[in-house]
Amino acid sequence: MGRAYTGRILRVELNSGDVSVEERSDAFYRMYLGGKGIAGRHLLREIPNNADPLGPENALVFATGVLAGTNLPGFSRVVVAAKSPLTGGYGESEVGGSWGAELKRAGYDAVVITGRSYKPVYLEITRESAALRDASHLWGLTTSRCEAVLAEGFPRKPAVMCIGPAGERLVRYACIMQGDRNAAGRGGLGAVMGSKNLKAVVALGSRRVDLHDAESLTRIARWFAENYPKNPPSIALHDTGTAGLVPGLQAAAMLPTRNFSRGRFDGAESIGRLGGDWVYEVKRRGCFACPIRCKRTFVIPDGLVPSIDGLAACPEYETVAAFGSNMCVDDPSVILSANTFCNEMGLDTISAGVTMSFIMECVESGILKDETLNALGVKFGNAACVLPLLHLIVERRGIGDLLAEGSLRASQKIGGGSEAFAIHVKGQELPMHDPRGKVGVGLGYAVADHGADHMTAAHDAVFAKADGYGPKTCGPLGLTGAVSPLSLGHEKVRLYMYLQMWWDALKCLGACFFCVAPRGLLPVNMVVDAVRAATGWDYSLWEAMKAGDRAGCMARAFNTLHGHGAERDRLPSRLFSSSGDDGYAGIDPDEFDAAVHLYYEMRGWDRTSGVPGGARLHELGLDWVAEGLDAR
Amino acid sequence: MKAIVELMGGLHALERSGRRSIEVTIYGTRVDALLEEAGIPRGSAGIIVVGGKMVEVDYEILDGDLIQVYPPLDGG
Repeated sequence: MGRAYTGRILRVELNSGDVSVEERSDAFYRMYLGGKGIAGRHLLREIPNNADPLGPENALVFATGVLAGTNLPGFSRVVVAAKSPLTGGYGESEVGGSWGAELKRAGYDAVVITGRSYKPVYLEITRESAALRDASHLWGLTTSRCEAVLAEGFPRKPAVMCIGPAGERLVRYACIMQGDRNAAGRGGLGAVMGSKNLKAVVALGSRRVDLHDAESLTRIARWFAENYPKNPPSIALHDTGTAGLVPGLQAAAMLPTRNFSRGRFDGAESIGRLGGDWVYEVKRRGCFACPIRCKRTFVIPDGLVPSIDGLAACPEYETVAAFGSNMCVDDPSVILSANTFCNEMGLDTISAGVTMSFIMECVESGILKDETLNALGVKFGNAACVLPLLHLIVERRGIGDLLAEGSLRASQKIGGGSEAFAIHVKGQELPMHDPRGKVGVGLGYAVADHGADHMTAAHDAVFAKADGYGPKTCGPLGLTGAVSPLSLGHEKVRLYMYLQMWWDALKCLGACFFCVAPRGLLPVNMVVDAVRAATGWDYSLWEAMKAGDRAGCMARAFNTLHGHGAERDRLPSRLFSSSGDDGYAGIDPDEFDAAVHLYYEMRGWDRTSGVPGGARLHELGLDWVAEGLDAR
Repeated sequence: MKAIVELMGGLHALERSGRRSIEVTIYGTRVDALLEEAGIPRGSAGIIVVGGKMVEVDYEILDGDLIQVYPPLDGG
């Protein structure tokens, strides 16, 4: 087995309470690599095709990459996956922090959880033991409180993945929090935990990761630490966090505004202060072993906005735009408060924000008349309605119960043309990147296995110029030329497909896209060098790309078996019309449709249905997946 | 003449002396020439904004301009 793996996967069966260990071979790891590869394999093998995502037959997987727990910055992220209660298909989210490192150091590469506990429990994993414990006293607690209670009695602070009240109440976009700011945000995986009566998974490790060539790995980590200050995207993340994207996207007319109907927001300067100088002192936090420390934190001495022990995590860009420009809310204090509330309740800020924008448009258009919404003054630009509406959602009270189902289901219930206001793909609400100005992102939204997600590949702008970051750093991937951000031709499809496979490979490695080329500093080949140093394998970029391809095909096959066809690979109709006079033209629907089908074909999937072809699956060594699809 | 070019999104890390803003005193200087002089590779400039509007890299700087230069913007 490749060094640096523990060779052990923890299995927890909640119906019976059994906790056991599966030992895995070198061949298993070389095939599935880790993260998304291991998660996809377990989901595909273990979840029945007709499984209710909120039923005991769903499986929940937490999977690290081979470099988790080492000193290499940005490689201790965790892929969390299950059948999604939001999309009904493959659900996945990645989360940073320290949990992945702790799990690895406790002696496991992944955790697979099945069944449903008859009472609230949490899972405690240390070097010495792994056990389910009663969580009756934790049920109902906010995430930071839950974490604090769980930390009592440990010699040092453990890493905690937990849900808040939103997950307990099965809000379909409830998230899993790791610490006070890291979220496995998307897909409603917090509701999956809630449905299993699983409040938290605590990990505390003590074992050093066994490495083939520790010296080489340290050399790479040191190179990273010495060079990131010279890399603009890395320094920007340190300076401003992701919230620093606001002014640039506003200038480029790609700041989603008024439920994605425009690309510029009059209050952009105001909300952009969350990524710049504002009224509060800023401290910086970061993930395990990472020197960039992109997680800004405001020190709140005056109690004027909610904080946890006087600190409030700065909202990420996604949250700033979802609760700001997309709702036409220009008050940074409200956005900060909404962020803290969502983190404490365990609610995905993207889906929550876009669902709220949806309901604002329903009210303003006159499609929906609701006394509660009127009383709260729910409309674009009214900052005062944001927090009360969030409360209704988390508590599933009144109209909040419907909104807790997400914008797609809400629109199906409301009807009357409201479907056009639900900005989602596969039921998952769009992140805050407008594909009208970067259509590769739109292709990504449409074909992503887990619904609309902006983190499936580098964005188009990075490849807009031949001497830009993309072509300069992605030579080993064969991507050396410029491609227009507005192109939907074969060159864009190829660019997106290669980048997506690379990013799926990085998801198998538990890597942070902010640390690896082209978005981050670490060159493509150096990632391969790190895997070689850690494992002792004669590893190559070829194998890494195949691992990414394999992970993507497994997720696609999962969707096929769970009833998702090509009809789900669609963008919201709004994106096919203009984002205003100072914005972009709508995406050409025929060009887009052709690009989606060309993408299928390039991947070796059926050009019409998008089902992975047998030849491609066999080529990837996924015979069992091909047989499963044949048996449909 | 006086105009200011602000280096956004971490671009100052590439500037020869780490300046975050550059005062421009020569009328008609092109943005790309200024960036080259400052040691910033042309491809590192993604979006150039003057008065809230995007301009091309060959824009000639005018008296009183406040120019912001961003790297290519990715997700996050």
